[in-house]
Amino acid sequence: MSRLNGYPGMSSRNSLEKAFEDALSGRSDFDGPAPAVVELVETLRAERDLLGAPRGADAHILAAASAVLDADASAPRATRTRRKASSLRRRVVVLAASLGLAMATAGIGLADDALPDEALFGLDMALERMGIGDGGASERAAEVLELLNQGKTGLALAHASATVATTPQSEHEGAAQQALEAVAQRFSAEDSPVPEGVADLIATLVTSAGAGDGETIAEVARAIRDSIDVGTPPGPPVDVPPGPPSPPAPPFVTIPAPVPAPGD
Amino acid sequence: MTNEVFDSILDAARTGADWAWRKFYEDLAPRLNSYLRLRGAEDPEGLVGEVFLEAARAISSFEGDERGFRSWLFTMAHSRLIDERRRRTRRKTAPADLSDLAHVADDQDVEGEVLRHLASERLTQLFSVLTPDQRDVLTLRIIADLSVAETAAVLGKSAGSVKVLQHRGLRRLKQLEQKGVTK
Repeated sequence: MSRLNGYPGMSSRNSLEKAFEDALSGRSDFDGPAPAVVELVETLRAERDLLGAPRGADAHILAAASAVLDADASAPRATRTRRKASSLRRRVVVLAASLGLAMATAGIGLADDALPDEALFGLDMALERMGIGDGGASERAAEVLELLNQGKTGLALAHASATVATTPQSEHEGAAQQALEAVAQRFSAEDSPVPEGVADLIATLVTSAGAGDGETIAEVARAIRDSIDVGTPPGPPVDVPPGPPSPPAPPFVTIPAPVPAPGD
Repeated sequence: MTNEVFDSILDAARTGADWAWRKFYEDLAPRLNSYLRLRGAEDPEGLVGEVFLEAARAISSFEGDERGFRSWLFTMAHSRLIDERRRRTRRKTAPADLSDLAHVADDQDVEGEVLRHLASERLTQLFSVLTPDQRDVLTLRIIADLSVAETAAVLGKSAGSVKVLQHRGLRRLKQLEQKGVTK
């Protein structure tokens, strides 16, 4: 008999789901040992907490920020910036041009097994369009995987991006679609700029296990206050001392896209 | 965190403010680290760093609230995890199969590896009755506090598939309990 006694009259399915949702929201209440479903939630969260025990920072930060926000709910907001158009499309065009060049020098015969960095690949594509040879997203994914296996990451990413952009939606199904889109997503992300200093900061946080301290809390609280720009908060003093104005935001720098090696 | 506070931190992060990135890192790195470790990552800390670097590159394109931001980072983490599993699988068995790219979660060796490194024997016991996909779903829902829809987005599955995986996983846990394999 189930020990989900807190949910009489429910079907087994509903009872299980409700026990799980209750455990997720911390509403579980059992007299005896918890059911395995609840136990899994509690065990996993215990594992999570072992890795990142709360440091009490949030309460201080939010108290400071809330005091500021309460002071003037109509504070001017920072202007959002829109990401500049990705150069992915441009690079896909460049890739397509190189494929066209490959077609011009291609032969016939082994084309169906050709990879994008091989001369026969263009012919492979042409044959597929005519219904000769294997094709579709799954073959493109296989080519991406093979390129990755050969260590030609740059070309693999570009090939995945080009394929996702050009393959009909009906072929975007299953494993091939997931594989291509995952790789294309990486390509797109790595083509974007990183704010100066952020990469170093992240590296520092990773190596120092992200240890928070009072100084960080104060810095965050000040920055929230400054970014919302409503002046000194009224009411009870915030337990964060005021500090000097934040320095101007650093400029963005663009990390150039990796240039494929001659054999890549 | 209120929406206004989150938005102001997000705006600052877009300008490259150290404090904003530190705040995001301190809030989310433990969860990401837990998820990656529990799902078999060889170098969870390194992957967390990669996730934040990727987020820093793409932050200007992000639109959404705090939950959306969390879901966004977990999507990146899951993608990195799959990449790492694929690299590991390739090292072990060459040539790799196409399924390695999209379904490396099925790699039982990877699962066995993580289970052996888990501190909790009880968790090992509970995980042992779940399939890799069920573990993905339940771990994301529990560790990351993601909804069914958010979990589906992270895993690239439909919400219906996630519901089915979740229910089957819960049912297996209940069967484990009924067999008397309880603490």
